[in-house]
Amino acid sequence: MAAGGARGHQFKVVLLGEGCVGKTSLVLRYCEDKFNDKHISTLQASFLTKKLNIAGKRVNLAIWDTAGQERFHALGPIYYRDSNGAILVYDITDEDSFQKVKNWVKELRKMLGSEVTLCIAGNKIDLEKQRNVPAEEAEAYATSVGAKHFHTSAKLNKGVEEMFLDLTKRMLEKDTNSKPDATAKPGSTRRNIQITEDEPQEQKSGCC
Amino acid sequence: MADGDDLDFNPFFQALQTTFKQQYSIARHKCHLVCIPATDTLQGRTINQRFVETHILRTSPFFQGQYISTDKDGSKTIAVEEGNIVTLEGFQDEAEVRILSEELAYNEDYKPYKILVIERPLDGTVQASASRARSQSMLGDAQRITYQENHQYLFSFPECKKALVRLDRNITEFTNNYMIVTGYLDHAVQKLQGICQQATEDILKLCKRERQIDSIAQAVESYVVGSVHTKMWQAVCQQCQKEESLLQKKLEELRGVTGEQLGVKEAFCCPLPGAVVELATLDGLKTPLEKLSCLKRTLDSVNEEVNAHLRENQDPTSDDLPCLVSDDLILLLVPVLVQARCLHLPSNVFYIENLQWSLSSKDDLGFSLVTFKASLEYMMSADFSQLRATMSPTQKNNEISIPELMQAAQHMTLQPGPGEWEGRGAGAEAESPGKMTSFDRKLESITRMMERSSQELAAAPMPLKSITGETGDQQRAGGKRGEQVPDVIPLRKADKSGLGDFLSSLQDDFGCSYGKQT
Repeated sequence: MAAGGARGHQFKVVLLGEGCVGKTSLVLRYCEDKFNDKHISTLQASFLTKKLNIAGKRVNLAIWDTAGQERFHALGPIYYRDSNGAILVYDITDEDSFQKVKNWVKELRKMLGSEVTLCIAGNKIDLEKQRNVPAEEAEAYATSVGAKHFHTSAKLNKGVEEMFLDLTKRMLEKDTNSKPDATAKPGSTRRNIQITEDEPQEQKSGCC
Repeated sequence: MADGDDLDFNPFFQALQTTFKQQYSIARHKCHLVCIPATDTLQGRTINQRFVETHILRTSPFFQGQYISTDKDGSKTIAVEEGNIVTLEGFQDEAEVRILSEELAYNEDYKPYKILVIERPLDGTVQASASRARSQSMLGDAQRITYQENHQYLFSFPECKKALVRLDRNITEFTNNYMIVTGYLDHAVQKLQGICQQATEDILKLCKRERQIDSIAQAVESYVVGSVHTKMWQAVCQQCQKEESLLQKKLEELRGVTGEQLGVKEAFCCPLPGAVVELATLDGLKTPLEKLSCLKRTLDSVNEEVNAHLRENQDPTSDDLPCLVSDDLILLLVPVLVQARCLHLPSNVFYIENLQWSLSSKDDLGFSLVTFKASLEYMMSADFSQLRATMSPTQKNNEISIPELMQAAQHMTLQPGPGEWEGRGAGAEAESPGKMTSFDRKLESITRMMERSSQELAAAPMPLKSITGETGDQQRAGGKRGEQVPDVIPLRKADKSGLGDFLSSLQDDFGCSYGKQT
């Protein structure tokens, strides 16, 4: 909203991945202990926010949970446009979901280039016995595409906070390097307004 | 925003980074709890060593959830419980202080600590005027959405009169002299952006309200775009004409479609009359911010109505509710778009995306817009021909008369079901004039639109015998629900010139939700 004038960094983070890999559970796990009752009373989980303060830098994460069903795949660009970060989630028990992550990575790199910061989450590590995606393979893949890999369990609250922290740190580094003016709103398309003093107005003559 | 405080302007938070830098550094290093009283409640308060020590607290070594002040003696103890801070020891009175928001903070070693923005200081009394000022300023920020509100706000700075006169002159010049050439709408957009930027710069130079730069920029945009709405809206609609005629065909094709048929999870399938009513007002709004807020309110309505439906049907022993995710929202919006007859949705999207420059595209309003765009895109690209073949004739011709709608609205006013009030969390809040629930807004919307429709009817040049060719009573007498209703489509087309767009939309689809509700 226009009112309020948040001065810190505002980052948009999209969650991508096949349906049922646990995207919503991850974001709910991360944001659920908010004190903002707006979210406690609602079951809406597609857009949540989290305020962070990292070494004095204030960050507002807007976390967008995207449509995961195959029939909505073509709608992806509408959601990830202008994203600063993306978390690509797969289920460690479902190899196909890892392949989908690879497709998403290709697409994001093609559409957003290296501007977008990536994390890959191997979710449901509470089901380690049923693992079908080798951890080494997933980690090697993540490194090869400039992403960081995290082993997460929304159920056991493992790896979730670390993942969001690392993502935010990397987004901050990128933002600080590319935008020296930390007070500019990253999501805004407004041109910078510079206020300069006019010539003293009393000096104007009244002629014509 | 109302849910928190702008810490960058908070005198206590500022003091922690300047005068009490060392204390704050130690607090970060030791991962203490930092409590920041809301800005407006700090008016007249001296921020000294004692105040700092009371509001920076270390974790109690004895009891979980308790914290001890960082003065030498550790003389004060608090507990954090369910969104409140309870003062336990060392304070004049035992009190509960509400936590407004929480920031998860990390120190230089990336160890976590918490910053809580709290309703008021933990000790001492708050001046009544300060808390009143706070609530008023919060209210003011939250409510400045409409063209009128932004207009009033902008003209409330007497020192900016000169800049506003210049702005009005530019608007008049644009309205009277600027010709929008077909295919060159971008130029008009740039021209308006230039006018807005110039005015914002002028105002800020004159009134030196740096802190309010976002509010001022937003108010200027709302005022400018709202003032040239008629001219720009016409041009935008012209530009989106082709897309909208395709959309019209889709809306016709999907008339009567239900969530179930589209694949919405069974638990979420319910009528969404509130969302339909909310969305039906979209075309009549003047500014991008008003339109965006309308989209958000529509999504909120969907959320609330599904929520209420779930609560009514859930297992009473279970407190778990399934979550609405983007996949669900995209599908749930399709019948809402069809029933609200959003013929100008492409124009509205263009208008919002191109005629506002100060709003972030990353917040909840941006998310609302994207959800609608996704739903529109899905609707336009998916093949519904098979679905159409499976729809019954009743579904295809689901109509409702104005008297039926009025009856439904009256019913909603007089007899809210116990589940409805409870489900919407209204209770005492609903009676509070300051806090309108979505349910209240829906009722108000219905009333407003009925008034508007009546005015359109009165102003219509041709005499109207009936909207559907028969009175509501006749229609009701003619057949109970489920029976074949008269096909009113040709008649509607013949009479359309005499009806407003909204009235036509009511006649077309709106009623099916109400019909199904009972």
